Amino acid sequence: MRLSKIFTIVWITLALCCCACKDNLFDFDIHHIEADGEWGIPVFNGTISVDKLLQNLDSTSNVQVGEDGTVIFVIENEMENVVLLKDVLKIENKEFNSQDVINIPPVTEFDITQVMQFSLNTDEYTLKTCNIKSALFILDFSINDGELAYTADLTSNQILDADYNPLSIHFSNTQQHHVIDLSNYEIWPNILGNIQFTAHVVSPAAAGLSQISYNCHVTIQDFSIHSIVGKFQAISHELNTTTDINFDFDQLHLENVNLRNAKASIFVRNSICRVDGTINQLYLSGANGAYYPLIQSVLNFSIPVSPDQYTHVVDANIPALPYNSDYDSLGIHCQLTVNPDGFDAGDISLNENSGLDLKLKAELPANLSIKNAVYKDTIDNGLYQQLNSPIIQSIELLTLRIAYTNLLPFDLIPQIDFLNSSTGEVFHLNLNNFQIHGCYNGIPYQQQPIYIDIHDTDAQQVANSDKMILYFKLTTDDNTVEIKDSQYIQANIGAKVKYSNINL
Amino acid sequence: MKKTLLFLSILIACMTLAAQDGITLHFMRLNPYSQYSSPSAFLPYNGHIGIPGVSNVNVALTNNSIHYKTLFGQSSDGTINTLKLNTFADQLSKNGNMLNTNIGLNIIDFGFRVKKLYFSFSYRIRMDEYLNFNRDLFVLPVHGNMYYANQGIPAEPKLNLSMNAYQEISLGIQAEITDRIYIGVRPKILFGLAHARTTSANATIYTNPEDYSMSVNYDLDANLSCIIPYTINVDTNGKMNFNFSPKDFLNNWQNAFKNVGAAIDLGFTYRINEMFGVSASVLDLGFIHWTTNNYRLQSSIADGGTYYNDGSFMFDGLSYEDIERISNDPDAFGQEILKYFPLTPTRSKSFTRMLSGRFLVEGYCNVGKYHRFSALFQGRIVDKQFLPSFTVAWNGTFLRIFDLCVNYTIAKRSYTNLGLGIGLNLGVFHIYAATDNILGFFNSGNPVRSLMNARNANIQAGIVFDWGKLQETKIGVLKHHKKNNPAD
Repeated sequence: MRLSKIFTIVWITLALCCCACKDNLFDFDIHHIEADGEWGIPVFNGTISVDKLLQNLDSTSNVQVGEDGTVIFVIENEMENVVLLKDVLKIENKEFNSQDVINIPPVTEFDITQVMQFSLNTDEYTLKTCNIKSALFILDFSINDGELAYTADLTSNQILDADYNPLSIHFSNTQQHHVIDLSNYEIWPNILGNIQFTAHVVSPAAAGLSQISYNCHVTIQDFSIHSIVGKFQAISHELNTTTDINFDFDQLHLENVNLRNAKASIFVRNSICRVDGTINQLYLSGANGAYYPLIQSVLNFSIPVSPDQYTHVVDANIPALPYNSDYDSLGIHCQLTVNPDGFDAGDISLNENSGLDLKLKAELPANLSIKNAVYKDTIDNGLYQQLNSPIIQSIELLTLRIAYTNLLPFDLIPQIDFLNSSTGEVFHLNLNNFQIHGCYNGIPYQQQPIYIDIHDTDAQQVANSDKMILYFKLTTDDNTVEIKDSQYIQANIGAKVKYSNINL
Repeated sequence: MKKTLLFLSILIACMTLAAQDGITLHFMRLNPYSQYSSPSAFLPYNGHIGIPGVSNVNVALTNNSIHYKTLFGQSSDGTINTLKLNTFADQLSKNGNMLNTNIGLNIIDFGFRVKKLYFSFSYRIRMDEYLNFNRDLFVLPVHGNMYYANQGIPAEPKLNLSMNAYQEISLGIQAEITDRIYIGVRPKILFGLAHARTTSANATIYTNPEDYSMSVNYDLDANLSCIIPYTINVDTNGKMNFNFSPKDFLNNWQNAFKNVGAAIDLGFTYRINEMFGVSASVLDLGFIHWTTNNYRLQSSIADGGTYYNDGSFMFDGLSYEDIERISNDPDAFGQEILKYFPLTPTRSKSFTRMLSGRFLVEGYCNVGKYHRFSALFQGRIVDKQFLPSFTVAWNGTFLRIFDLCVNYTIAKRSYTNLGLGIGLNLGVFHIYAATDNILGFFNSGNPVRSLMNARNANIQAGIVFDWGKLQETKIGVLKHHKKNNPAD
């Protein structure tokens, strides 16, 4: 009993203590943190070379490096079949007629030879052989105007089918007209260049006649060839074509930029025969009437036969080229002479695929002067969500420490804007006219550390922006510079954050 | 003069270092558990037996650095609205910040006298935890690295943790050798329950004030042991996962008795005369051999690549390539960085750890039959640290019913420790409560708030049955005086 009383007293005491504890002791509603401090963090310490910068430019152009290290922008476009054999070599329709009265022996079968022949040759070409892709061969053959009963087989050893059988056509007094499809036939003119027919006539009724008359009319039309061997006269052909180019960069806006010592080169893959040519015009053109001639005078060139690979045929040197992002096509106008040696070149073998493929290559060395170029990139403000946090809002001062050694031959003036997409409001961050000075005349520009203070009010503006727009204005400061892959900027960037009293 | 100098030296030592553990009970002469800190102390009983679980509950907290009032601020309506990290970090001492916990719970205990010998047996559960950290551990995150860089010094956060939880089975023997000399010995068998100890846990972070480049060095080496099966693994993000399997413990209950240790408490009392005496004790002189589920956690800077330099993590900024890699795959880059800070948990072999031993040296002066004034110097050795304190106390035993004690203890950064102990002995029934810092319960309005602001808070209380009231033998008269002896 005594023990239970003591326990009761103990519990009452504990209960009183617990009641006393109800003193808002754990009534936490913390919305203020007192913490003053300063953190310094090395953010970047590295080298950014020209090579790396160029890799970030989103362009269709390739970048090459010359033997001396100069960066060269290369625009290259291929145009296949700018000239095809069928465009320069046309075999005309042919029509041939042979009629005569000939003496015949008193037999029922006889041949008519050496009188029915014709030639496909013209002043422009002399065929040695020809594989016909398609052609229509129209023949009319009659004896005594069909008044005599007969059969006649016309045969030519100069026209062979795919199995090398001579063409043979059967006529009679009731079948005097044939249209033959000569597709895939070959023509092998005889030594005189002629195609000759022999007519084997069977006519019992002719046995009593000493003479007959015959009439043979031949037409070849719609001629196209698989291949051909022969001699040709020189053929003139005009080429006038353009190709699309992309002379623009997605993120780099260039104005008042002059390129020096550019070069346009022409390469040709030629499966016809030797071709000579003259470039009358080589130019850049584009929207808004943009036009810039790349040559000041005509360029002559000769294209050897090179059916399997492109052959460099001519260069056009362009001493100065003002950059204009409106340029979107490269045009060429030239006069071609196919087989300029004519018949003197001897027999030439051609086929239906023979033609010219053209490759235009523009090499634009980064030998330039820049008055105004702006690299622009818009990225998400990665701190947007965090910047709304009380901890970031407690920042009193953000100090950027920047030191660099610049071997890039241009000045860079950075600018950072913060954009609120929903309101369109743009906050321009004050970087105190910070400028990265370029390296001219081979003397690296070394910058002692400079400090850029960004105050808390700026941080608040930043906090309300979801996008960050980076600008880098580039100039060469009245210098013409060469940009080489070995050039770089070595930068050391640190950030120091001073904060106090966080209000949650 | 020499005594004065010695006293002042001890006092200064206590002001520069720290101590803990309940000491008030030590001075309460009627309390059978005073022998825990003084094995040679005379107990005026023929025997005692504790009520299981409530006979002696001891909870002590030494916290000289993390206080409610320095961490939190109130608004006018009483709401806790401010987290005062500046105040908190600035008030920390350079090296001597402690958060120590000592818990003891008697499960079974009893004692009895056989002539001049007093035997006592106890089975206790004990937990001693010592956490020590330096100022930099919190000043660095609060005030930042430039706080150090601007002074041209590195930040060197450091902490030491030592924790032992164990079962203690002890047999105490107190003997009167002569009427002037008492000795006491308490051999113990220990069975470890859990252990955690850092051999090293420190870092050095130097920030160059010019370019903010940082050099980081750190070393972590810790041993863990627990009777409950568990595993530790580190995932690819560097996060360490503990997976305990309490169910497996049921199948391996024998683990509770596998971490065997031994310890001893020794005590010596010399009565100069009826009025003055001195005593000395050495407590918890022993060890535990930890064998179950041992892990060793190790970590230090490793050669992870670019940022490794002669044993340090040297970070002077991201390179262009790093930024590209971060853009492409932030996680992969994060894992690359983690290679510099490998955390390796490995199963370790059994190991032996000493307990945190303690010694006490006391001088006392009896004034009349009921009053005793004492001065006590005690020190505890935790790893390589020596934690002393100094206490002066008065103990009054009135009518052999009341056992009162008032004392004052000074320790490092803890100067307001006014102890109070009260015991009520009603026949065989004995109830008591004691604390080393009664002000700790009232210094801030209400007890709980006060405790959270106290640098030293402890309470030791319980209910015990004791019988056979005795008095110490008078010097020169080798005879025990029985209770109610008219000569007394």
